[in-house]
Amino acid sequence: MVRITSSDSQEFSVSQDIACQSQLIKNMIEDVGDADEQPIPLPNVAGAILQKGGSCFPSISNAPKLTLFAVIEYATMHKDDPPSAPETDAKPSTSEDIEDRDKQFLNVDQGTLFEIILAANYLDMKSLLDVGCKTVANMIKGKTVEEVRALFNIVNDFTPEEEEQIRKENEWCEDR
Amino acid sequence: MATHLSGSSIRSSSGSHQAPHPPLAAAVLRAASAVPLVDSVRQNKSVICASGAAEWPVPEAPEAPPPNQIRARLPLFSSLPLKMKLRRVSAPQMAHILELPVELLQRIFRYVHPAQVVKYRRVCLRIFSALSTGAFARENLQMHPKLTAAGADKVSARAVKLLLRWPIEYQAAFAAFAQQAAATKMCCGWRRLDGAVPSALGDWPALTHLELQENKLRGELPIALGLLAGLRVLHLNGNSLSGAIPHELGRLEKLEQLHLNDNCLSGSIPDSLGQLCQLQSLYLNNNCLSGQLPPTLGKLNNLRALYLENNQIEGFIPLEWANMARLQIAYLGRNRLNPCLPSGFGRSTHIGEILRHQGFRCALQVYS
Repeated sequence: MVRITSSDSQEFSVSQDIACQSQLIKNMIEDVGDADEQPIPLPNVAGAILQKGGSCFPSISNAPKLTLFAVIEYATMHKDDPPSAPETDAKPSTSEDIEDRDKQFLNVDQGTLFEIILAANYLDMKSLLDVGCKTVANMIKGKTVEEVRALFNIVNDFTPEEEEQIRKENEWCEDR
Repeated sequence: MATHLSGSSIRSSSGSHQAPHPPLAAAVLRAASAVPLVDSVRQNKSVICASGAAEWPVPEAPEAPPPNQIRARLPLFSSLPLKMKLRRVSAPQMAHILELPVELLQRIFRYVHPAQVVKYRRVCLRIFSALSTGAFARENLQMHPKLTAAGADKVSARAVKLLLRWPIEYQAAFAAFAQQAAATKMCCGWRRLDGAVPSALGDWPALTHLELQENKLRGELPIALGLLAGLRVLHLNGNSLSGAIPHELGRLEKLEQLHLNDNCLSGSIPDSLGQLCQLQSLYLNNNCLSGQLPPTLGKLNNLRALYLENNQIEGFIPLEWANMARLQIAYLGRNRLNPCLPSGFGRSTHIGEILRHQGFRCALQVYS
């Protein structure tokens, strides 16, 4: 068992094979040695606050984040996966190949999705990071620039002249 | 793991949450261990009654439910789909896509097809800078190997079409991939392709055939073409190329066919073309070339066809040209050339014969 604490001081104990899907934790355990001694702090990952206010359903006003909880759930789901082969240049995966269970797992709102991606990046969990990025890419694909802005609530910070210039430079892709 | 996780959270819950009714909690725990947890929700009341609830009134729908209810609800919670769990808690402070570091933005966008991804530079400044690096272009192309794959030894027509219009980072990345894939041919004539000849082609020295004739290419011939040391065939005829013929083309030692006819090229024919010792055909007709004929072309021992008609070339046919032993066809008409041939072009030389048919005459008095 490995003990992990999140940024909001939630402590999780997770079995080692699950925790070690995070390359970061794996390296920490290897560096520190016996993992049972001390919990591993993950100051950049919000935990699951399951008991806030005495309720197992945190109220929205508390805005707790379930990121680490979600990440652990993902790691558990994938704990029996064969170790991923080093990515060969010949066959990189496309954003279409996402396992169904992952698709379901990542069927969450944008904010959560980005939190999970950030956590996966910080925890160095390549498979989760990839599947998260693929999910966002699939949201983007086929959309116009305006639709992408609307989808992610992005403010266009170009001046009209700048935007026109970029449009001109890349005119070729507008007609496809 | 879901059950295990709930186990871990219970542990931390009992630490942080002071159980107000110790005997009751103990009773519930006992009961819970006896019956399945979900059932214990239904049996809650009876469990509580059985433990003698008279002294502690059971709160109904409490603000903070006692731990027995937490205990009872946890398995329910963990059996919910994650989507529902998360939806309950993450609404207000949403992480925004622009909070992602540049590497992650690139990691996301690299899955979008290279034909599409460039337009998303327009979304906002941050995405623009993330998608405008050479590293991103390489990563993006790497994720779409079909595009860079060379069918036989030729790159696909679609790739060529994109290549000609891509931003320069993509052109460079593409050339590097093509080189790596050992592609040697880029043949895409008669397709109405527009764009310019990319200077990034200089990164593709394995290229032997560059055939983009009869398209709508504009702009100048890039100097970088001189880096294509293995180039044997260069067909760019029938486009709208302008500017001068780069001196650097003289470095293409293996070049056999240089067809630049039917463009708008100007300037004079570079002397350096005389170094193309393998050259068999040189088509420069129907351009706006001016200046004089370079005497160095006389060194082209393998030249068989020379088309220079319909330009504005002036002066004399150089004496040195009499050495072009293999020349079979030469068209020099519709220029401003002096019709006098130097005395070296005797009746015996083949080129002399050809030129006399086009109205050039020996003028011994000039060259005596």
